[in-house]
Amino acid sequence: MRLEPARTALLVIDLQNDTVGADGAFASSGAAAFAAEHGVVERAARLADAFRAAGAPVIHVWHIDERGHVDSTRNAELYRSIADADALVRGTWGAEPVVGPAPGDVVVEKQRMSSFNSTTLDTKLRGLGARTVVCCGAWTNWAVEHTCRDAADLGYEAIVVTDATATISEEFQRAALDYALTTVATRATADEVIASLR
Amino acid sequence: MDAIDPKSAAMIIQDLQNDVIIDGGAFADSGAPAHAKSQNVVENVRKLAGAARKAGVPVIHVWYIVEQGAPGLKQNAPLFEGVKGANALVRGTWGAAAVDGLEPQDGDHIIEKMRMNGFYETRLDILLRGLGVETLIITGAWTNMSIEHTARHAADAGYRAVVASDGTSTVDDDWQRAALEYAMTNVATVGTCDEIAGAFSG
Repeated sequence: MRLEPARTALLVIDLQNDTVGADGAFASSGAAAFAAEHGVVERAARLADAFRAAGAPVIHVWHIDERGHVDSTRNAELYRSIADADALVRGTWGAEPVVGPAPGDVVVEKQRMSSFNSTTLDTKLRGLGARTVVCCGAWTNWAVEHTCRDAADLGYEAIVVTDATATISEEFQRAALDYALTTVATRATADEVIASLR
Repeated sequence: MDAIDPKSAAMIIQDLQNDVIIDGGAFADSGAPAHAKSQNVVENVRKLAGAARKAGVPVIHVWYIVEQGAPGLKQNAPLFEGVKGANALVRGTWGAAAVDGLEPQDGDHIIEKMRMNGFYETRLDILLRGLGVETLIITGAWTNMSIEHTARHAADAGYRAVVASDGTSTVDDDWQRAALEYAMTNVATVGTCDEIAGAFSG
């Protein structure tokens, strides 16, 4: 595998306090424990550093709702649970990133699972000349999976970082990586991605 | 006009169907057939398509097609009311067929749509990405509706849009000027079909 820095972007998806923090809104789901046990946040931060050092773009994708979740439909359990837990609200600790953006990084806000849905991500990737997106973050089965699928459908090569993605349990993680993303995205570890970035 | 690299360009021929620009078509009363003739749009587009194919530039036909009765064509704007009301552009009819001289050739692509914008809910963008297109040459009718909307979307989607001034037609010269001299300002490059063909590099 070789990743050309000028053609490859890192997507750091939903790594926010509410999604992976020990005191976050969804900690009881097992997500915080999973992320901590697997060193997901540290590895995502290391990936971001490596991309910046290589001159490749780092794009932070954050799920942000407005206060009261007035602008978010509750048509699926995931969206209902965000509203019910009053999670990921703009301006709150829960919505803050756990991997902070560095100068030159790009930030995209979203309100759906896919990072592409109703956002400027596709425009920015085109503008940056990216052909490959490396996806890390949380949760593997929802935002990460959906983003990989949309990326593939839109013509990007999608790479999912197996040890820099977090979900709520090992079973869920395996379901995403060993089943759902088969023939959609390439699996690679953070070390493999970093070594390929040249 | 700046050079157009054939390896990263495509040409679309949009809505040049009998109902849209031909005498006897559904919208003949609008003046569109007369304007198409005064623009010589069919011949100009035919020649440009020939030059494009020769240069290796993919030619993409974008057709407005509805089923009988226009089911699902929401009547939220006069244009869509016109299509349904005139029973126009129905699949399988003469009115929906490509005009004489602009039938698809081997290797051309065909995209169907049912709104103004050639990108809206079609596979045009996916096709252009697959073909590696950066520059989109836009011809067809009507300049103020489908052509303008498609050019705007192309610009927003990251393409360099080039609109053929004599490869497009509408209902009369005033409308054509409104599109080319005003609406497309800062959105698309406007040039004649000859200028566009002359810009093919390599």
